[in-house]
Amino acid sequence: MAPTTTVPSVSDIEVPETLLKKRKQNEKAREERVLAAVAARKAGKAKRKVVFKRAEAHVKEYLAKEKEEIRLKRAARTAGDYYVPAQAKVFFVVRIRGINEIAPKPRKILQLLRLLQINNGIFVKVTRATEQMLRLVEPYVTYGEPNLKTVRELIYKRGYGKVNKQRIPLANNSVIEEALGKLDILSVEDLVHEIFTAGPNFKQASNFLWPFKLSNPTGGWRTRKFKHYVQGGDFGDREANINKLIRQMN
Amino acid sequence: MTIPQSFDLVSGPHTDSWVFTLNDFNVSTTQVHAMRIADSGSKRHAVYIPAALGLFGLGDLLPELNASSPAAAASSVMSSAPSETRAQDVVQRLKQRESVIHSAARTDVLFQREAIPSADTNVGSDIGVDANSITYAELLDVTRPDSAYVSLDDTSSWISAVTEQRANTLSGDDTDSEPRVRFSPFHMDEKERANIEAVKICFRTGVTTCIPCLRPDCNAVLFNKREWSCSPSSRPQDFINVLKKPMASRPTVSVHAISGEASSSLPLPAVLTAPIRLDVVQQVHKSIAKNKRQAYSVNVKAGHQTSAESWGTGRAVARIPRVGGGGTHRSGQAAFGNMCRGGRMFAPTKIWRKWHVKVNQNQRRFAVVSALAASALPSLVLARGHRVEEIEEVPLVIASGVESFKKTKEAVALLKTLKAYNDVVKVSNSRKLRAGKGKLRNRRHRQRRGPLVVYNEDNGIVKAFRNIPGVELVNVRRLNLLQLAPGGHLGRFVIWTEAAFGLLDEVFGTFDKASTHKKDYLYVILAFFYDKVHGNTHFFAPISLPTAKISNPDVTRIINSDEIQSVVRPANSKHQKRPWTQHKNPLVNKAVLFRLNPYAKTLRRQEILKQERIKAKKDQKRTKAPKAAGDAFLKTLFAP
Repeated sequence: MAPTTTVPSVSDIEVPETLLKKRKQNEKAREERVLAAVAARKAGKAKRKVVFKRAEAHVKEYLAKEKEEIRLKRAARTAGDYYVPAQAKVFFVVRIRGINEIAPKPRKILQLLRLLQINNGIFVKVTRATEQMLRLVEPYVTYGEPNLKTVRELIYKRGYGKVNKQRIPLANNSVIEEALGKLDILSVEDLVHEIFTAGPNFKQASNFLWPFKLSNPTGGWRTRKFKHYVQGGDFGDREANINKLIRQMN
Repeated sequence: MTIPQSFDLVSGPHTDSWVFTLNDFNVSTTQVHAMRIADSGSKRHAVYIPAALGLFGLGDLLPELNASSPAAAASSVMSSAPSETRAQDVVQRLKQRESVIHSAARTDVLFQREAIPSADTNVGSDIGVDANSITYAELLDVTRPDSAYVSLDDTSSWISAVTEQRANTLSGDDTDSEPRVRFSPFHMDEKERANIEAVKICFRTGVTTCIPCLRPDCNAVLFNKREWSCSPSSRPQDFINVLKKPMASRPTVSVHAISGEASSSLPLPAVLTAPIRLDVVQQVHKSIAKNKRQAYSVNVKAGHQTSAESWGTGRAVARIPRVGGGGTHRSGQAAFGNMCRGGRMFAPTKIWRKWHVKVNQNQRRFAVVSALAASALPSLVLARGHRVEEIEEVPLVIASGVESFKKTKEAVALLKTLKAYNDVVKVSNSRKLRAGKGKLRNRRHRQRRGPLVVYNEDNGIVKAFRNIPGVELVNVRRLNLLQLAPGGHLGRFVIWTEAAFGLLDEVFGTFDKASTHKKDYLYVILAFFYDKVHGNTHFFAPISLPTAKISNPDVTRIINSDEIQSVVRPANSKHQKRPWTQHKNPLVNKAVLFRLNPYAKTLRRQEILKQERIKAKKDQKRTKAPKAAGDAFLKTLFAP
């Protein structure tokens, strides 16, 4: 039916084949996306349950441990013995000194410990080897055994992960799961647990954590920073007092 | 390499065909196996012979095969089933040809002998030399031992003969999915065989040719231009499948009579469908255009025809060499430097500058072919600026009678009837004085280029057309890139004569046929070797008419086709969405805390509940009922 005018009406124009194909493709893609979203939501809910249960278990574990310590201390006291608490398993090391005028060997060790900037902090497992390393860099760092509270607060407030060589904030458990999922660390609490209890995958967990960038302590350093802690300065092993310092630096 | 069992043995239409499979799948290279393939009564037999035996006529090995008919021959082989004595016999004869065997041990080639239509042609020690086919000896013309090439004329006629034969025999076939390779066996003597390194098989026509170097000490294959290797798992018939292209039907071009209207028609030559490579044309044109240059330079002595010497320091003048002597202005003037008046220029131009540029022959041919192909596209011709809006057809072909034109009047009249005269008018209107010194150097005027008339034989056409402004004439055998793509711009308006147009196929060849006027511009002839050591199969093809790298240039259509869209993932968005980049502190922001640690919510809840309980208990303890005042107190209070 030839139209009377040369201007075609909508029904005369045929839709190009590629356009029809594209429409079909888009429809299919949309359906698939919807299905995928539903499935993802379900999976997410299941994951949250798992994470919840685990966090609960961890809290129980921490409480149990504390109570155990107390019980052992009391038992020893009543028996007249001395209770020697176990040596620290994990240290938190903070770099105190800047980058200029560092001798080569301590410089290399600080590089190996990933303490490349002043007020950088990392978790380190305590072994004979790492103890010796820390001894060599003692004038430039301060370290001690962190609390649970210290560990938690550090990871929650200043925790960033190394994802694809980038420093990504731990805004989601998915960040942690994608990086450490195969090591059975699925959430921030799992990560805290792994670090605090120096679990089997401590190395990967602490390597995943980007070195903590801490502030200078509120309330300040001691009057002379570069003496050993026991001499009235700040560097070296300050054992449990590291927690106070981190409270000020976090 | 396994025996391609399906290769025409059971399912082929020829009841008399044999397959010689040259394959050393057997450990011993000198065993002969004969197997009978039962096929519903028809007597077809296969004789498998290891590759070590090579490609040669097997007549003397198995004289039974020279029986009067193939079937009879095979049955005679079969009747004497592989027996010890027979095998030994063959081994004996093989050992006599030890040297021959080793030289050919590299090749594994599939052959299939085609049934000979007439029964009486199977004579002689060859295996069925066809009456229609040329023997190899004839082909190579072995009486001229220094001839290094197969004469292409012979080859093409030979090949066409075989092609016809094949076409005849195939014409009644049922659809046979298995490809087949045929050969006309040939007779060679010892020396030739010893030098053979490769066998060439034309997959289009199924013809094999050996191209050995006939020098007795030379083992080279004679044209070895390009070599490609294939995956190790390729079987020969896979090659054939891959390389077989369906023969596309060619469009026709109508030939215009001298009076103007279309009379007959010619098929479009393959050259005009070649890929149009502007980059190649530009590069080649740039280089070729330099070849007509004449050298220039300044005079060798210019600026040095003085005996100037520097005056040195201490005379309050610059240290540049100065002309000595006196009595003229020139004395004391500076000389020799490029900065001096009358001195020599910096870097005087020399005549031994490289004026000409060598371009590879195949590149030159490629460019010409591309330019020709571009001249067949009206849009390109128009874009180049030719006034061809009104002509009937592009390419424009005129009847051959035009080659006998003697008068320019006739030529002009012809152009006018063909509506090609507008181009000539354009040229004459564009004639202007050249700017610059070229005016004084015999290049006074400049004008556009008009049509290019391509003829086959000059019976006066050149003289008739040459005085028309802008028109150029060229013989089809000597096409010039500088005329086909002037300035490196594709799309010259070409007027063909019928004879010239028809000759294009011969000058350039087609994708199936060799070029008769250009040496080494061959058809797609291939050889393949099976390298047993590495398990690779190699094949190579020499230079020929260029083909496009991509056969279907409509890339959009390909992308949107069902085949691709069905396996493609949906497109990602154009811009990547950044995740929320503000870091929220979980120790302060409870929502983030609960997102990270769902258990924190219950912990907090329990903590709150515990605090409330403690507070409630404390309140309980604190809120006691007020005690009534004691008697002693009241008495004292209200004492008068």
